[in-house]
Amino acid sequence: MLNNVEIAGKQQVAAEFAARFADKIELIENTDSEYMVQAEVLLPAAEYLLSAGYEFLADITAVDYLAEGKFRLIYQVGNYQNGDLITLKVEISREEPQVNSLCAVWKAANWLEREVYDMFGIEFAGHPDLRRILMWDGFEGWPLRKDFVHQPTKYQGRRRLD
Amino acid sequence: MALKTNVRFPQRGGMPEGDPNNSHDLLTQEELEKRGILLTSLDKLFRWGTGWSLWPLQFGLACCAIEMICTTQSRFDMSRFGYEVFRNSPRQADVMIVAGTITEKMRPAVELLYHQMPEPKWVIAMGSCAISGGPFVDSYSVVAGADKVVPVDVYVPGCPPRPEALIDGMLQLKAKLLHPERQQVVRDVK
Ligand code: SF4
Repeated sequence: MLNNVEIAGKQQVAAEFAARFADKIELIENTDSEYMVQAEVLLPAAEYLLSAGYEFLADITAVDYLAEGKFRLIYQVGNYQNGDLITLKVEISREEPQVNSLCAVWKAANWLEREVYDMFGIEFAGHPDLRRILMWDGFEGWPLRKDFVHQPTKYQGRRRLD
Repeated sequence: MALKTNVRFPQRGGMPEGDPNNSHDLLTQEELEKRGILLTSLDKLFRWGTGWSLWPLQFGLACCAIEMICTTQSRFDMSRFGYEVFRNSPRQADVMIVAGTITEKMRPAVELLYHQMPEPKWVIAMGSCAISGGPFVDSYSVVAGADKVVPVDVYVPGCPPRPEALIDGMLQLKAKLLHPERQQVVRDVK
């Protein structure tokens, strides 16, 4: 159950989004705080959220919709004052996977964006240090893309006992 | 204190008195041991000592490490067997317990740790990840078993193995040390 403070926070964000980014940000159906955000207003929306007390960037991740030819980025932002949690979703094309970096807004975005870059190959424009974070240097490909085909190294692969 | 034994050694100038068939200088080692005389080689003595005080290297790679930690705690208490001296430095350790998944990124570190350990050294592969890559073998980042990287002496199956299984693995390693002639199992994996 949400308490009144959280609900007030959500309503304030909803009102502000409606006022400032009228047709660029819309609430996803059947949710109370998940927004589909157009890529070009991601940065101003993030700046507004920070100024409204949403200081805690909990996670950035992505989903590969291979059939539809797009990636969906998911940002989760928390507010320590009223305990509210808000989700932003951004869809970008698979051919040109690029989106603005949020490092300037939340410092936590640095490593989270590097992880998304490492796994999906999504470029974050304006990121200060965009390189792989989990995979080793020299690894090729983007492992969490649905069309990724793994080439085992000489230390990998199932072994045969026959 | 003088060693009390029934064995009479051959006197100078001929056989001792008593049963002429009992030629004492032809007793086998087992027969001597039954009579309270221990014959051994220094090598064997060293191996016996080492087998009772193996010093594992203190490092863990994944969930199996938690089970390895439990093994040393009071409920299972690996120190009953003399194996509780986990060393933080590979220079002081002689057993590497590979407890968990080796990823491709971690592989050079595991290899380096193994080479930093002084001889003689042994490796225990704990859990299915260390044996063959475990549930993650098809993943893009996981090495298919510790024996792709370092030579393994004892495999402890399980996911994770129970602490008793790890203790059994250590005891198997001790048996291997005490009886090198029993190292029969040859595993040729492609
Ligand atoms: S064998 Fe099982 S318990 Fe052990 S590290 Fe692998 S997944 Fe974890």
